[in-house]
Amino acid sequence: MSEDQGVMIEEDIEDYIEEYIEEYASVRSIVREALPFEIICMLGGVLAGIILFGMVEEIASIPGLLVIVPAVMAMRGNISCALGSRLGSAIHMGLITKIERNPELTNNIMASLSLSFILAVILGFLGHYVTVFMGLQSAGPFIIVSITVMSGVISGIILAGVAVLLATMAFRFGLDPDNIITPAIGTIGDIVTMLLIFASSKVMIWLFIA
Amino acid sequence: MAFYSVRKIIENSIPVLMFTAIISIASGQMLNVNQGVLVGSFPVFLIMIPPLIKVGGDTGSILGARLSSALHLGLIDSGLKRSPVIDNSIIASFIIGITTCILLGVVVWVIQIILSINSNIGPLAIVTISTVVGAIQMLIMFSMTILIALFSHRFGMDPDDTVIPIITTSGDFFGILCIFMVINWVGLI
Repeated sequence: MSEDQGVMIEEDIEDYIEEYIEEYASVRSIVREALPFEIICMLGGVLAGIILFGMVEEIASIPGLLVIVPAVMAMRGNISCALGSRLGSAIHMGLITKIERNPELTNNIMASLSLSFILAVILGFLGHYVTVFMGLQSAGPFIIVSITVMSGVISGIILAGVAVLLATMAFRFGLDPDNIITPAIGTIGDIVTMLLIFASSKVMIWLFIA
Repeated sequence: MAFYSVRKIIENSIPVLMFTAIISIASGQMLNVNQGVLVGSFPVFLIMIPPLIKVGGDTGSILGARLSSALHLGLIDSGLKRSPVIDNSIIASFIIGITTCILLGVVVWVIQIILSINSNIGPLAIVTISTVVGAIQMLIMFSMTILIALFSHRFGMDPDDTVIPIITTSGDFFGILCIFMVINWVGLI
């Protein structure tokens, strides 16, 4: 009798797992869940594109500016999304129970900002020298590095704030931070970073070129 | 003692970030070389490029994340055998990407009218370019994602840490490459 019951339960579990996998892996459920998010992310990207379109004058007066645009954007996305997902993991592990004076939080933010600064300097020099090496015109290492550092670090500070805010909200409302922080950071990051590249270019033109 | 130390995070992140920095500078050089086309003849592509390369990176990440979860959960093993979990994830990511690219073409065309950008590219051409570029881009991205996800799992690396940054940054590179290839094919350059 008890053996029969054991077999029954085993079959039930197998059925359940099969059903779960079918649901988890069905094309319809994946599309329904991810498509609306992807469309919102695409519209965020269009906004970043409109800002880039608005930079035509700056692109023309700072040779080599276009080289660093995808580089700063990619760096921002990679560093801030990693920060977001680490904050998500920290919440899952129960490391973040308060926001003030939490070393897990401050260490993560400090690391993310230091990385932004180091990478921005490297990207600026790399961008300038590769451009010169290819026989193309560049506005010079000083202007290019200043733009990568200004836009990279300031956008890093803003996005760290956004990441912490989203993490706190997810924590408070009991939502899974993994599902919210990374896509939101990616989309907000594109817009903020493009705006800051635009602003930094304007500052450099105003100070040194015009 | 905190679980996360500044030093540990920086040391762990630098190698992948350096690698992606080099790829992204290469993407930037492609834009720079074609600056005349972008700024002079067809500024509408300045609007289209950021979202288009984003869709490639996003759908690659969706697929990468799903494959990595499936590997973690043991739903698929790291052999290159066909499995419904892999197949359906690929089909779904592709449907999401193509739908978004078609919609992107329409959105860019509408913005072109609103901002009254002068270019001789009609709605059909814009939608075709964004869809074809998206499809080629996804083909490249998905092959890379599957290989990297299975490869990194087999060698005991956490695919979450390595796959996503490499996928999104290479997505930018191949996306920009595809855009210039396709506008070349349709004879705009």
